Amino acid sequence: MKEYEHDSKLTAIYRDWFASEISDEEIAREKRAFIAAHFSEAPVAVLQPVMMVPAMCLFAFFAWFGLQFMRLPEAPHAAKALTQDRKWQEPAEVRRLTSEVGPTLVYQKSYQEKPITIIWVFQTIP
Amino acid sequence: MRKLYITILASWLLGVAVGTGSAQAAERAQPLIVTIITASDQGEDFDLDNDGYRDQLIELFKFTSYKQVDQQRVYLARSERSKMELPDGYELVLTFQGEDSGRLMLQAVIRKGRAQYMDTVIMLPKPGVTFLGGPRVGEKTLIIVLEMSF
Repeated sequence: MKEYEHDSKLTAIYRDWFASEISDEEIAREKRAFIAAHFSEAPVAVLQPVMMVPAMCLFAFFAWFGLQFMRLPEAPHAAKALTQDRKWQEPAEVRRLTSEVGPTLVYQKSYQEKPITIIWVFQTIP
Repeated sequence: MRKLYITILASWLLGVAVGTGSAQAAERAQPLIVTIITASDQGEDFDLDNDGYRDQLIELFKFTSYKQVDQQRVYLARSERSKMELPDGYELVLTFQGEDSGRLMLQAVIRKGRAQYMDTVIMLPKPGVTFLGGPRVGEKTLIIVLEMSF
């Protein structure tokens, strides 16, 4: 029983001592000064997901925003449907055709099983 | 826990941004290859970037000489006009009007000054090739090849 009381008193003493130290402004100031003098601040964790994901999000947004106004470059040697092996079955369908300079004609020819539509105007007015 | 919420939110925003961009790009971009050729019966020259055109042109038309003036890959946005300068003051105006059953509805206008040399609305298959032609460029004849990409 005496031993228990002794431990309780010791605990109370330690608690009071810690409390007084923590609340002591002078000690706290010295601790801050010591830390500032001997330890640099922790670097910003830029590679963590919490930083990287918003950054990627912003990047993706600006990239998309830029694409809205960017004209895709011209292909100097574009794929040419006429000269490729792939075939197609359906010709183009002409819904309307007018001209102010002469009569018009639509005809279709097949070249290597590729139906090709030709829309022609016979220019009679210079 | 707070970091987890921020990560989820940021991922969602990223997905929305990328998804919206892709969808709009797909809606917007209708690639079309436009080749401008002048043809005549003077000489027998074939001045074309792609020799593969030679046989087709010989079979389709009766001219003896062909010269490629220009070739561009244009990306047509719905209801937006795409203009191309042609030889001798001509102008080609292409307007993507919509898509139906995999076909592109395209208005093509060839004009010079106030005169409309050709005004047509075509349903182009994918892939597919259509020739427009007839307007005179001096002693030559203008031919325009429209190719829907694959």
